[in-house]
Amino acid sequence: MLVFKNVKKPMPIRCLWCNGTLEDGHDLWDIFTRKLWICGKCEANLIVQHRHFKIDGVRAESLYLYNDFFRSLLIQYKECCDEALYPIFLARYHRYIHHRYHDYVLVPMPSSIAKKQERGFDHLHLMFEACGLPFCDCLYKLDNIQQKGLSAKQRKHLQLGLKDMKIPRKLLLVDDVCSTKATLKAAVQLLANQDRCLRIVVVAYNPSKHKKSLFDKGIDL
Amino acid sequence: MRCPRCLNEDPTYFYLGSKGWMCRRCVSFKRVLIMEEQVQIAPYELSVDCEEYTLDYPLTSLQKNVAERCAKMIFEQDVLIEAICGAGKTELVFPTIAKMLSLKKRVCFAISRRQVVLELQQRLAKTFTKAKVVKVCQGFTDDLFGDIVVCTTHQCYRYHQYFDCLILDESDAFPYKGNVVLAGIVRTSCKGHIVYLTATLDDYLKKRIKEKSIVHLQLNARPHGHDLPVPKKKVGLQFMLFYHLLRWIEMHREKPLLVFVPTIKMSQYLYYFLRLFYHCDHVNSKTRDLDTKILAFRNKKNNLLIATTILERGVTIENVNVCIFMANHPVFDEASLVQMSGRVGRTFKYPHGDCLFLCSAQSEEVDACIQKCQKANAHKMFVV
Repeated sequence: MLVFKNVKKPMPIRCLWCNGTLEDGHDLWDIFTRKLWICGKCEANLIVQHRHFKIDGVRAESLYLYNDFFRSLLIQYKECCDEALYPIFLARYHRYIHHRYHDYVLVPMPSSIAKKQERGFDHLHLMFEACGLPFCDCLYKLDNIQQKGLSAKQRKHLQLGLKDMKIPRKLLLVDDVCSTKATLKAAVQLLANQDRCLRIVVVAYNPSKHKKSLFDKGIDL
Repeated sequence: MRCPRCLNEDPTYFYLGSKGWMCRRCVSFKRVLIMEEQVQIAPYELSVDCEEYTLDYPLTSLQKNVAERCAKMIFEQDVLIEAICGAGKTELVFPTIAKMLSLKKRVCFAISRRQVVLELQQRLAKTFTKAKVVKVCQGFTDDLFGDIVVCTTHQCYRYHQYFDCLILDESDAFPYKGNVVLAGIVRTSCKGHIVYLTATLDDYLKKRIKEKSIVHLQLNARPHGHDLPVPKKKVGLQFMLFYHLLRWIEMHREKPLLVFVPTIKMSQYLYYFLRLFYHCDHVNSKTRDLDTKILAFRNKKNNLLIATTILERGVTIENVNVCIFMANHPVFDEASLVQMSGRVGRTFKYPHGDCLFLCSAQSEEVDACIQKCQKANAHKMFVV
């Protein structure tokens, strides 16, 4: 019978995305100073785009542009359950987040229990765990609620619930993609009642949907 | 360790995740755990008399011979039918399908391209009138089970160890060609034997013929019995190719003309150039109304169509003449050249036609394609 050590393999010999040579497309500086997860050719498709905006008055920042490559990466990570991809997303930003939000506690946007069980891992926990900040899973998704007959506005508020637990004073809400902002808005509204200091970090920013919704409200980016 | 879905054994692709070891080579089709037992699909009950079929025209003696041999040998080992373009490859497997269905076995027709799946499903539904023929491809994934499943090779991941017989059409076409993941998925979707239908052999099939692990049936004659049109080659400087192209179009102006180009950009530029002189259109993989444009070309509303390799296979247009512009381009290999030239002279009514290769330099692939056509005309008999 095969017996496997329950230890995650140190990553990687090959590019985690294309399985090509890891050093391809990286310069010597990168090779010697950074821990590499994907080759330079794939990394070139991951477009860094630091943006600052506000969601219901809370300061938010996004780190990458939500392009086709990021979309495929996220689909493979979340929908196809390719757990190995988790270090790719925030490899450049671990230190930044750690220093900038050193006194904050991370609040990941919750997934449904069924999805979590299917995946076997919490995708946001894995993404942000290398930032070295504590987590507070005070939010949960209301899966079983009957949304039939409710208006879109009512549904938005019903998406999330707040657990009965001690909530720290400074909270950093984190999510993977900011497109309709519905989840983040619901979280902000829930936590604003608790009189907490809030900040938001989203990994990628979806310009088409997000920009449109902001323009609709007359907010210029 | 071995992936139960794509048969990968390369250790660099295995990853130990929260739920156990998984294969990352085929993970884009959703994670498969190595130790996890694959879910058994509940068997679909076949319809009554689903094996009955009707053909528009009777098979020729050569076709009959190959078809019968295929139907007989499929129970023993994999079968390769190597037949020239327009030889009626699809019809050759009808007796095999009918025999399988009569024995209540599950049959799948797997093809690389979605467009061909849609066309073939209609064709099979017309032939096997009492059978439920389902198409499974992008946009059609609600109904997965029927007497005959016609699907893209990508969709085979839904049927782990389900089929008793799988017919793999155009195994030399993109994206199946050279894709080890798809090859593994197709293999594991079938617990019986596979029939490979192709006009050009790839290295894998050549290797299997050499190993004698596959029955090799060859058919080099079209049903109408006429010779395969041998392409003519013209080599010259690029501006001369435009001159030759315009001359060729003038010569065959009354007939539908299909001009193949290697890249999307070239299809657009050539379209901008040719529309100065002729009423024409162009199609490529980015064309949204592809079906409408092909239909307009079929219905002779438009006599000149510029296309990329998107139309190299699975399209039959009556009385069409073909010109391949920049045939020496690296995008075109022997298989695609054979396929494109094979669009000519496919119907009983118009068994002849003209095919022209315009090259800016000499090319081995072009010569190999011409030789293949000549060879096929010399040896029409099938060999086992």
